[in-house]
Amino acid sequence: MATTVIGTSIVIDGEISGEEHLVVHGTVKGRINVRDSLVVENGGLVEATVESSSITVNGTVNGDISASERAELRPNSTVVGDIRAPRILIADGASFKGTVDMGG
Amino acid sequence: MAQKNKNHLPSPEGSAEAVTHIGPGTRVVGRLAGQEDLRVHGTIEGTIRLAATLFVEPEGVILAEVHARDVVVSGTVVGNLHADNAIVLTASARVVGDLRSPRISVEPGAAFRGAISMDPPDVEALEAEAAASRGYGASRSGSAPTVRGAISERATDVRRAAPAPARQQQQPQSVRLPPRRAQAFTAAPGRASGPIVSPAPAREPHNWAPREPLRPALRPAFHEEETIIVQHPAIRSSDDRSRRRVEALPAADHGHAADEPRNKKTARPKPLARGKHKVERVD
Repeated sequence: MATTVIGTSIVIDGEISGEEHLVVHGTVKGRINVRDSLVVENGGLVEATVESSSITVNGTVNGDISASERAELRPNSTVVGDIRAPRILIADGASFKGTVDMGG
Repeated sequence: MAQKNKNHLPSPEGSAEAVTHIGPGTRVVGRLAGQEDLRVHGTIEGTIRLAATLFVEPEGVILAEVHARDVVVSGTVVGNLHADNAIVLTASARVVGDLRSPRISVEPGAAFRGAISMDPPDVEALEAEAAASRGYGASRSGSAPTVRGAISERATDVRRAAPAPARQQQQPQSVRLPPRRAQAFTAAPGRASGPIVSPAPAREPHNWAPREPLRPALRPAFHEEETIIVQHPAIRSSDDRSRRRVEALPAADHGHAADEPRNKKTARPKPLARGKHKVERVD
């Protein structure tokens, strides 16, 4: 499986787009638009508008999240922004500030 | 696929599988900075600043200005590559842009278009800085009133830069350094002589000798610029300042004598273009 990994020391200021699984250990500012799943790992920082099919957050996201399948906030994650997804999981211990839109 | 470049110059310590990895279907647009190896199978546009090795894999495409410690290109790069250590273009590389690195290796089969510079960038920058600060400092302190003094100093510097036999050859070379100026001015008289065919060539020869003394102000300006470039090796190599002082006096005359031919060669168009009017009035 092709994946894209952004390492811990990497800082990207701009836009990431693609069809593959994306794992962020580092910092991304701007915009993320991936067709596959996105994982923000512990220590990862995303200050971006995020669009993806499935989003899992272990680290920090500042920005709006839009997932076509599901969004998951793991324990210890921090999210500030609005979430739009048909299924949303917020684990115990996750920190979240924003609105949730599950499509209704 | 990420493993294939292991045997190349920059690779030894980047041998462990790189953490950061841009997949073939991924595109990054913007600025990317980091301290770890980066393998690109996808596309990156913008700028890359890496304190480690950038691997552009065969299907990878970089449209970016790249600064990295090492760069290994097996894919496509459009943009300038600056590496502190080494740049390697493997057989499958296709690169359009300038390369700058102390070590550069281009394997047979690689396609490359652009310029290569292997000067260590820091040395060059330092020299330029040193030369600039010295040159400007000296010329500003004794600017308008003591132009002569400025010339003589410059001349001695130029002279000390090269061993005795090489002096005369070095000077014309150094004069050629700012070619744009010379060309810009040669173009002007060329056009002028189009409509008025006869007077222009006729003027050239006999105007030369008298004009030199008439316009001393022009020449120092020209010298300063050129000698700033030549000057600093002299400063470095000359450790005895006493010698400079001794030479300072005679150098003024020598400098002029040595300058005449070069003035005619390259600086000629400049006074011609400007001085034309003056000389006509005098006549």
